Order: sequence, then structure tokens, then C-alpha cells
Amino acid sequence: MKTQRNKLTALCLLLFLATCLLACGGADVGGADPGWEAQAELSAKQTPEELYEAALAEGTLTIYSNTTRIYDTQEAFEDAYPGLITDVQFVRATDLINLLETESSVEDPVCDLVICTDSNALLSNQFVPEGLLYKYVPHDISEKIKPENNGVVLDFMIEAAILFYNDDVYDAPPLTNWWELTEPRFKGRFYMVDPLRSHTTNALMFTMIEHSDEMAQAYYDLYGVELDVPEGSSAGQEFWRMLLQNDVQFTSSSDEALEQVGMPGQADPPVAILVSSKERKTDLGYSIAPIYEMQPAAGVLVPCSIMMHGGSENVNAAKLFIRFLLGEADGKGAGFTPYMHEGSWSVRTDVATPSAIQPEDVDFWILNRTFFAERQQEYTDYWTTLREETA
Amino acid sequence: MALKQSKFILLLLLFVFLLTSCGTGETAETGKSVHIVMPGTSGIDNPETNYYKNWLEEQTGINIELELVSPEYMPEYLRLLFTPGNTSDVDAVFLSGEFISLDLIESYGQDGYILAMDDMIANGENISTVMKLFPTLHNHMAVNDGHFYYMPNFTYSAVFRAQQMLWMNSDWLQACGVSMPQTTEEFRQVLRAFKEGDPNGNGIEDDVPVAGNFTIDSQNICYYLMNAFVYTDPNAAFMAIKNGKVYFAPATDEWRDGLRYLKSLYDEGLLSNSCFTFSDKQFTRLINDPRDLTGGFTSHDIADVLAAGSPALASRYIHVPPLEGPEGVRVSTVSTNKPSPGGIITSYCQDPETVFALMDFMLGEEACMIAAFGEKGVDWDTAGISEIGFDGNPAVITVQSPEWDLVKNKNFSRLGPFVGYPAISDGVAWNGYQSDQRYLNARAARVYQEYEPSSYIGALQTTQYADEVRMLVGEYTKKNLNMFVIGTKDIEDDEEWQQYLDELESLHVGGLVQAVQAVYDASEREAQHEDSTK
Repeated sequence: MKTQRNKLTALCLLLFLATCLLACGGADVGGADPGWEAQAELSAKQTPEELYEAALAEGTLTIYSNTTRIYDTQEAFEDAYPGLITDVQFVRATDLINLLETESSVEDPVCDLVICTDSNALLSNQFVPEGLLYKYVPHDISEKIKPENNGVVLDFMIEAAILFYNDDVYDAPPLTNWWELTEPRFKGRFYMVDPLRSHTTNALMFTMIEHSDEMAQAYYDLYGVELDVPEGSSAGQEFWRMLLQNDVQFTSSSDEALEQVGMPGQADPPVAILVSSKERKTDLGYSIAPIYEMQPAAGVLVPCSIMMHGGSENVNAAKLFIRFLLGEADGKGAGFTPYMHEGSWSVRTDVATPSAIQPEDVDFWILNRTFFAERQQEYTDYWTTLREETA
Repeated sequence: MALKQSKFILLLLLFVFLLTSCGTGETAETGKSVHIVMPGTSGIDNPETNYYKNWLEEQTGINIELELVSPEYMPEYLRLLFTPGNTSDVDAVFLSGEFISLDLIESYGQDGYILAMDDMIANGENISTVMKLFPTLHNHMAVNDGHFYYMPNFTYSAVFRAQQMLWMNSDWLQACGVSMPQTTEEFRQVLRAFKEGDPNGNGIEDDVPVAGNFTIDSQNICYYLMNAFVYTDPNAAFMAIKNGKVYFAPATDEWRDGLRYLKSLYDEGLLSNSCFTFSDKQFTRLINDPRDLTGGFTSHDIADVLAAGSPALASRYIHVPPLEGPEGVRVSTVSTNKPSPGGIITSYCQDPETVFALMDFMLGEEACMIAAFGEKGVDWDTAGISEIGFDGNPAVITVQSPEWDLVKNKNFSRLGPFVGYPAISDGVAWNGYQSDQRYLNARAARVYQEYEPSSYIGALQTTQYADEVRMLVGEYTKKNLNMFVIGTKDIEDDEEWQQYLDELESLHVGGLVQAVQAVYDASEREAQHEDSTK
């Protein structure tokens, strides 16, 4: 009887998991040919020289990426390995996911490598289990990757979703608590990309909802009264509802939001949610500064992953590129150099990025991919409804 | 025999019924045919299966016989078509401004080869709506003799209005450790850093601090820099306006100061000779050179300069807001679109009303959406709640393909009667691809919008005489700008400057200013009248 009940429970769990996966919003994607993984020898211990020699017989390496810095890595890669040709397509993360889903039914995929933030956990919870994406970790680098960044997917770099302000106009951050964004002084003066169009803001929205108890405490700390949370809602959800009612300004990309905040010569610039690595744009003259001291947390850490596309015909070039991007065995290779700046952090234990602020110096939330997988559809619907109500 | 006849009539009626029932929309002139000629484009593979053509037929009930002519041959084709003694069954020609000038339209119209559509336009449903939506359209469409000879091909954008935008190489800024400039002096410092710092890192002195050409006005760096001294609009014959008074910018002291600044850049080698000698083709080759040779350039549309499908190159360039001059002048030249001829009815046409009905239908918003983007639900769709348009407002539509302006056999590639409504120009959501250069333009253009002057001349319609003077004055100004900058004429020599002013006057600049002032005053009165009657 107990066994039968266990079986029933297992079946229910299985059904629940299947429903969750389907509810994640992603269409059912087709995986690679079952024999591909074995042929790709993803756990083989190959040297860069061996990979290079084999890659020379392959075709153009196609990379879909949601980071533009990859163009610098691409240039360095082609310099380091003459004869290898790469084609990088920069696509916004949400569109990149759509592209992968659309192309998943194609027998011979165009894409060889995918570089994308997995903050809505679709890569790890759907594309990997279904055999669309595969992890390749070079044998001589594997042990140098932080365990939390070498799970279902391989991360190569970490950023954070945080607030930025214009430090040319303000001597100090104009706010220290997320709830201040719901006040009249920020009405129409807060920019972000819609969470349905940005993995970064999506990560932050979900994480704030997940940490609703902390959001409620932050509200109390700021105003001295308890937040009135309607039944069925949470402090995190209330935050986003009140924020929307305060005339949030949406942009198509975080670069647009950055320009709104940091374009020099402004008298009354807004604030915006950006990834921490945008701090590098100060080199170009944008007056932006991150706000690392925020209550209840500065933001959420968002890793960026690199994965091989199942069915890739340029396996050796793809492996070589992954090695290169990770900085090779000693971590000193030119591939990671474009990511060595403020607000961008290495996943390697033996490489310290030259950022004055390190993740451990700041009170960041950690991305919970399981929470995302379980609640993706629920909160996507919640957000869509909110947007429609406030449109 | 009578039975046979009645069977035949029945069959005929059935056939007509079947034909007409193919249409799903309200049909205006069912069962009629029109023969239309238009330039062939890469967007039309097969006229018979073209989605837009078939959709128009379904919606209007008009059978469209579409004949394509090689685009290069189009002017010659028109000349032959409108030759005395010629006969033809061509009812209408669909085109755009690049295939025929307004002068020719007027000439063909006055010679009787093209029908004036005055009454039809006054009563056309969609054209009337469009004219209400864009009040200046009416004046622009009437040619010098006062008649309306064409249906428009016209795009309006509230966003893409900057005639010139400055793009700078962000890799070079970083390599040289300099920020994007805000003023003309900072711009000088940046150019110096580019010239001396070997920003492309190849150890060769091949770095061109800023590129330009004298062929395309929007790519002329000198005009762009002049806007830090005085409003500079070559499309308005350099006419500008202050407190309601029209003036000619190149005859001002501010223009002279601008020339001094340009000359100082030239003398330092920061403006190279190529800015004055290169053609637009040489200019684009330079900027797209894989050796990374250029620090910056100006354009109206970055797609005019950067090769399509070059995301790495596109990611390198960032837009820089207008530069501020020593006296605080910081303006962006406004580009105002004039309509171009989209459709004309020939004098050979036996049924102009049917042709006009088709052309008027093509100006409807739904038709223009298809004309711009292709098939709804396949090539484009209504935007979702989370999408933002190029204008920064909630988007109206999303497009499916990254190369959304290159749909195949779904429309006429925006040729023919067409209105680029704000939803079409500005309401499109970014497709998420770096290579979508329209998105890069939109971001830059929105920044430039903040620097538009409160009033400007723009593309005013003047008389033919004024147009001729405008052309002469424009050429003279351009030539002299070149001479003062490279030193053929001495900008510090007061006599030489006075001689330049005198020559301008001999070209009847004063008369042109008066003509433009009169048109401007009339349009202002019209605008005030419209405001008072609202």
C-alpha cells in the first residue's frame, strides 16, 4: 500500500514537474541527435593545440551572445588562432531565447555557442534537460571554477542587477532604500527594461518577490509602519505594483536606460536599473555610478553562461573558444580581458577581477534558479496583468 | 438559341459572382482592371504572387496588372511613355522621388501627359485624412502651377528628424583615455588624441580622427560643426530664423567664427583633406575598412554608412549629442520630409476614378502597414505590452525578421502611394539585434530631438525661381566654405570676407530671404488660423 502511495506521489510529482517545465513558457524544443554528445567528446582531455588543429578543418563558428564585449574576445580569438573564423550575433537575451526556440527544430543548427544570462533559468531548466544545450568545461580549468558557477550550466562571468545614478549631478546616491522609488520624487524619473524583455530586471523582480520578508522589513525601516499587503500578494509584489503606479519609464535596452541616467549635461537626471558592468561606460564620458548601499539589498548577482549548442558541427572551435573566453588554463589569456573591469567578476578562484568592489563586499541577493523554475509562469502572468492595469 | 444565350448569361453572371466574391473587404470598383508600371525591386520576385498586390485586389475588387521596369531604365521609360504621338495602355505609374523630379512631374502635367487630380484628391477619403494629419502636405503636393499631379509617397517621423548625428568610435575613445566630447574645444582635444594616440594600435599613422565627405550633406562634418556656431541647414539654403525673422546663416559673423574654428582644425591636421575631396563611396569604404581607420563621422541614418549585417562595427560607434560652441550655441538641424511622387495617372487612362480609388486605398493605415512590413501575423504583428517603440512609447508593432525591411514578395518595397504613419516610422519595437541599425538611429535621434531649435525653415515650398536661386546660393556657400577652411581664401581678411558677402548678394540672397520670409509668414498665419479655429 505504502509502495503504491509512493508510486502515486512520484507520479504526481512527475506530472507537476512536467507541468512546471511546460509552464516555464518555453516551447518544447528539440534536442540534438542522440549520437552527437558522444561524438562531441565533451569530457575529452584535449589540449588547445589539438583543438586548434581540429578546428582548422571546421567551418565558421557561430555565436549567439547577449554581451557586446564578446566582439573584443572574438577579435582576440581570431588573432590568436589564425584561420579560424567566428560570426557573432549580438541578440538581447529574451530574443536570443526565442531564436533558440525557433531554430530548435532545424536539423543542422546554425548556432555553435550560446552566451546568455540564465536568470530566468530557461537554459538550465529546459534547454539543457532537453538536449538543446550542452556544458563543456575544459579539463584543466574545471577545478578553478567556483562550484556555484559550474552546475547545470557553465557561467564565465558574474554581474549584478543594481541601481545607477548620475554622479555628475549628485554628490551621493539620491536613495538608499528600494521603496524610495515609489515616492513622488521619482515619479517618471526611474528607468528600466521591462522584465519580460530583460533577464536582468526579470532576475531582480523575481528575487525581490522571493525575498518579500526582507522587502517588508525595508519598508518598515524606511517609513516606521508596516506595509499593508493585500491577501494573496506579497511585499515584493506590492513593491512592483507601487513602482508601476509611479510612472516607470521603460526602455528597450539597458544602454538606453544608461543614456538617460548618464548623458552629460543634465540638470535633473533619473536613476535606472542596469547591470553592474555598465560602470565601464564611464570611460566614454557617461556620468554614472552604481549604488551598492541599498536596503534591503543592493540587487541580485546575475551570472552569464556559455554553452555549446547540441548538434554543432564546429565542436573543436567551440571548445577552443570556451577555453579562450575562460582565460585559458592559467586564467591569463586574452579572451577574458574584455570582462576585466568594474562591476564584472570572474567565476574563477584563481582570477581576481580588478574591480574595486567585489561581490562579497556587497549585500547581494543570490539568484535562485529553482524558485524561478517553479514560479516563472505565475509571476510572468502577474507582471503582465500589472502592466495591463497600469497601461 | 435563347436557352443557350440565357445559359451563357447565367454562366457569365456566375463567373462575375465568383470573381467578385474572391474579395473579402468592401469593394469599391469591382471587376475593373488597371495597368500599372513600376520600377522592379528586389522586394518583388513575382508580381503575380506578390502578397500586397493580391491583397489590394481582394480588398478593392480591382484587377491589377503590374508591369515592372528596370529601375535604371525608369527615367528613360517615362520619357518614352510621355513622348508626343505615343499611345499606351498604361493607366498609372507607381514610383518614388528617386525616379522622377518634381520639375518633370510638373512638366509632364502641363504638357498633358499626367492627369491633374485636384478634384479627386479633394474628395479622396484617405488622402483627405492624411492631409489633415500632416497639414503641410497639401502645400507641398501642389506644384508651382497649383495642381496636384501625384499621390504621395511620404514618411513622417517624430523621432528620425536629426539631419546629422555624430557617431564616435568608442574603442578609440577608450584606447586614448578620452571621453565623448561635449563642446567644440573638447572635440578638438579628442581629435588630437585620435591623431597622436594610434588608437587602432597598428603602429601606422593611418588613423583618420574624423571622416566626412562633401557629396552628401548629412555626412559633411563641416556642416555638423557649424551648428555649434549658427543653425546650419543646407536643405533650407542655409536659411535660419530668429524671432520670426529669416536670415541667411553664411552671411553672419557666427558663420565666420565657425569657419575660423574649422580652419584651425584643418591647420592642425585634425580635419583631413578627405573631408573635402572624398565621395560618399570613398567615405563609406573608409569607415567600413576592417583596419579600423576612423574615429568618427556624421550621418542622418547610420545605415547609410555602415555596411548592413556588421554588428561588430555597429557596436563600436556611439552617438554623441550636438556639440556646444564657444558662445553656447548647441543645435541639431531638423530634417523635414517632403512628399515625393508615389503614383501618377497617365493621360492614356480611360478610367482615372478607378486608378485613383486604388491609390487612395493604398494610403489607408492597414495598407501602409503591409506596404511597409509585409503580411500581418507572419512578417509583423501587434506589439505586446512589454514592447517599446523607437519613439520610447509603447510599441505599436513588432517585426518577426531581423531584416524586417527586406521581406520578399510581400509588398512593393515602399514604392507607390504610401504614407509612413508615425506607427510605421516610430512605433516599431526593437527586434533585439545589434545589427538593427534603425534602433541605433532611434536612440541617437531621441537625444538630438532635445537640441532642435524652437523654429526653423525646413523644407519650405517656394517658387521655381527661388528654387534656382537656392541651388546657386547653396553651391556658392559650399564652395566658399571649402576655400576658407583649406586657406584658398583668408578668413581673417576683411576685404575677402566682404567680397564673399557681395558675391552672395549678387546671387540674390536678399531676394531669396524675402521669398522664404513670405512663405514662412504665410505658413505661420495658416498655423495661427488653424489654432484659433480648433
